[in-house]
Amino acid sequence: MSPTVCPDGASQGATSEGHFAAEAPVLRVAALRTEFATAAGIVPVVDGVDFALARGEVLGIVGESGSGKSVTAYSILGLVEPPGRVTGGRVLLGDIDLLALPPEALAAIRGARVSMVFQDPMMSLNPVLRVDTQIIEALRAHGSIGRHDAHARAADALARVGIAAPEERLRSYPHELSGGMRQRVCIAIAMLHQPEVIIADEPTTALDVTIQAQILSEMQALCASSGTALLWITHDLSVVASFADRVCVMYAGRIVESGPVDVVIGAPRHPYTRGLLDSVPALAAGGRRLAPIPGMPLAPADLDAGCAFRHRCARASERCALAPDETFPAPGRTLRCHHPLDRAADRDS
Amino acid sequence: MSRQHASAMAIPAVGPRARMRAFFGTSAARVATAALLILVAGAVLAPWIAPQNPFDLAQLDILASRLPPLSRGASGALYLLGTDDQGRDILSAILYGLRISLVVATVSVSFAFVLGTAFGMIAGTAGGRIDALMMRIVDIQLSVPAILVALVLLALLGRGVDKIIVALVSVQWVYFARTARAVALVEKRREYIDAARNLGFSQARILVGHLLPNALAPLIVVATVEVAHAIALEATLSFLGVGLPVTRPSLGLLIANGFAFMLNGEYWISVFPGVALVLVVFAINLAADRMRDVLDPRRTP
Amino acid sequence: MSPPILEAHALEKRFAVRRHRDPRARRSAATSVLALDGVTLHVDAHEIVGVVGESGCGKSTLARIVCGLSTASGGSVRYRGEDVGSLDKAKRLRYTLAVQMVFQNPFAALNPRHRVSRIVGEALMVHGLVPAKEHEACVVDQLARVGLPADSRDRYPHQFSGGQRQRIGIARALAVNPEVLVCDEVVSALDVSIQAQILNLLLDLRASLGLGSMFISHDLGVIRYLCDRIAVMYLGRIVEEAPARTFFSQPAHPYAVALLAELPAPVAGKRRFEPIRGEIPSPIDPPAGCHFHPRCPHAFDRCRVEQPVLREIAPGHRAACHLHDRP
Repeated sequence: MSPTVCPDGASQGATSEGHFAAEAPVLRVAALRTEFATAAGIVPVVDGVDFALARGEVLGIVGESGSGKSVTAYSILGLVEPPGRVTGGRVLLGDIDLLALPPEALAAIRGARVSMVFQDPMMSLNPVLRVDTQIIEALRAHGSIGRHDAHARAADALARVGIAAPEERLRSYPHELSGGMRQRVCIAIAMLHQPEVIIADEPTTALDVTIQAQILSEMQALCASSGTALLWITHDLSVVASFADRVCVMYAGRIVESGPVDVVIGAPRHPYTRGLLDSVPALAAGGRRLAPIPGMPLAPADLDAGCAFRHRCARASERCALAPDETFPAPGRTLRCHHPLDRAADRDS
Repeated sequence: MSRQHASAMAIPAVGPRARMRAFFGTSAARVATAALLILVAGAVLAPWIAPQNPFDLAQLDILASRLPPLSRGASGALYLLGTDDQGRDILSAILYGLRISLVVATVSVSFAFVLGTAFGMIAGTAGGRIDALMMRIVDIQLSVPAILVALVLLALLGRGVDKIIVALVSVQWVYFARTARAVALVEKRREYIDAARNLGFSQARILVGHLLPNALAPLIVVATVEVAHAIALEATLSFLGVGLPVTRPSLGLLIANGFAFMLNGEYWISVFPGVALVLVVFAINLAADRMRDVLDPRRTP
Repeated sequence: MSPPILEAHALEKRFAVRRHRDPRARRSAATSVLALDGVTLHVDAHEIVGVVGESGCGKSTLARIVCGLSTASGGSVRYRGEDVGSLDKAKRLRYTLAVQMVFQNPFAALNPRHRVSRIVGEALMVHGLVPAKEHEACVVDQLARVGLPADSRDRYPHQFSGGQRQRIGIARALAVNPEVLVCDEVVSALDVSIQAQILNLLLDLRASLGLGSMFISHDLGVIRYLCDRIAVMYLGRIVEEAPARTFFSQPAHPYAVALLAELPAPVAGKRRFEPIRGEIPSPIDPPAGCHFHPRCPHAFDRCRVEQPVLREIAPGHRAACHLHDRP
């Protein structure tokens, strides 16, 4: 259960990577732990998560339901509600620890320096207010601005996320917009103050494929041009494969493997990552039968100190009853496994 | 996704046993249930535990009329709550009266439950014009005060246990109809109903075997509340003299009987039956509230 | 050649628009939506036909109509060549049981108040499909087929995970010996690793039982893995239909090309997205001519006025696009 606290290791992971080597990370999460009180007692849902996010970087956090990926996102912004509670770790934005901030100070940072995009746009849009009212309100929340200027900036914000006829859209109510349009409005609001970090929780999962592609490409362009770092929470490995710079794979509250996306997906070392890849029809090589992971994840309450994946893992041994420590097999890469796959064997399969 | 997971963990009450445990989770529910059990037990066991049979004129002692609480009659019998103008022991009268009130209420609610649920389910699943027509009937009924409907009916039918049951059923079925329709409208769109249709089951089987079991929880809550309503309404009607015949004195009739003596300071003839009435109605309502919390997942905190 | 087991022929489905309910309808003069517009598709034994499309394309409506859960406004559903609207009671039941639906939402598709034994076994009893004393054994057989242990039968749906519930739903359909399974987005609510288990199960069932399937999904990756023949729908019409291999190597309709472009490559690596433009138009007021023309990179004048018909451009390969209209 002891989280291997190595914020330095995590930051090493990010900084040692080629194109971000010069800069300190904008966001660093270290040994984050969030617990939920349930009928079965207190269970850790996020259990010692470390990662760092460099300027302009897209970091994908991939996991299945119950892996703790969304709770990780909520924990960063202090949005975990009872029965959940963040019980440990640090979330450093620059040199401010967000977890140690009083609620008002955190609220001032939320939306300005770090903002969030949810899966369901209606979670952040007020159904009874017009779009312009909501954007202007968000503008005024972090700085004073005149009515006229605010309106112009609102229209500009919508145009930047690819909304045609922004003036007309500004006068609409959320229910008059399509799902993709609503999500664009949310992204526009999230980008208003040129935040250092955007946390996006499954932002395109509920959208159609063609709309998803549009939004992905727009977010990619926006982040690249403004230097905003993006923390992308998703269950969809295929989206991560073509969209992120780096990826963290979560299982049962822990990051089991992380690294540059082409390396992790091209040559996974953790059996769970391998299993996930073998389960995605779109990534399976033509004609090959999918090799899904057998069984299903344990309920959080049934987890013990050992590797949470060992019950579904073909490589598990007695050693796996002890939690594997985080190792750093290559620059920018982390791994938690006693019996990692080696690269050569991997290429063969 | 993880959020869904987290909220799924927070729902504790699934399965009958877990629901029972959740029901008794508050002290109000425990007290209400205990009070209700004592009152019902008293009513059911009245012939064996009541000091006298208030219907047996031979047992009444006219000389012992209007005795205050805790007095003793000529035969040495203790009148715990006093006697009324005919020398009836108030405690016995309350136990027997409660018995009548409870029987009338549960019987009428049972009929209203069956009638109203059938009506509402048919309206909800039929939809369209049939539904619109059936629900307008319900709306009309609801727009007339229940007491007025009951008064008119009883004026036409006359007094009697069967008549008051008819009156109560005819004002109460609408509540079941409305709830049943609302639940049917939601449930009929669920995929499990499509699945049942896809397996070639008859409409009746789907309605009774598949839809009804899922509609029961809210209907049971309504039924509980309606038992309390029925007791109160029956008492009101009896108090007004149009309910039960004097030979079957329910709580309402007892209160009416003693009303004339209130001004003489002989409060006990009315007040104790009144207290019993309030207690039973209050206890049922408390239990119904708790039941709603436990059975309705949308209200689970 | 014997007629296909299940055939949708020129199906139309019109829904009335409730103007006050739907804000998109306010600006339009239309009073109804054509959710299906002349859809023709068939399913044979042993084949899995994929229907792919985005929201509002009518794929779920199609599924409900071929299963008999909804009635068409025009055209017909044919079971072994016979219009199901004109079947007598006994034949109608045979058709109903022969075409079984597996539902999208594993949480809503099972009656929460019934035990698994009843969910899977009720139809056996009601229709007398097996002798009463064999019910128990038959239910256990069905559960085994979908990979669930025999003791599952005494439990309630809430005691199972999403993937297991989907297996129960499949067992329920299999119990009545269907000839065609209609699967409407059956894996979209499941996690990837569980999704793969269910997809493999469907392939195994096809191999062991010779079932035909209509597999409806928005996910081309899933469709490619599973299907033998593919139909692409856009705003109520089939715009392309082709054998899987042809479809993935030579898609003919620009919309199909665009969908295929979104399909992630098996090779990892960051790439630029080149998405197709625009939103999916409202089905209440679809564009004139070819519904896809406002988003189509190849649209020309004819596309704006004349609706292209679905015609064969190669053996077994049909497309509705003026680009392929050469004689």
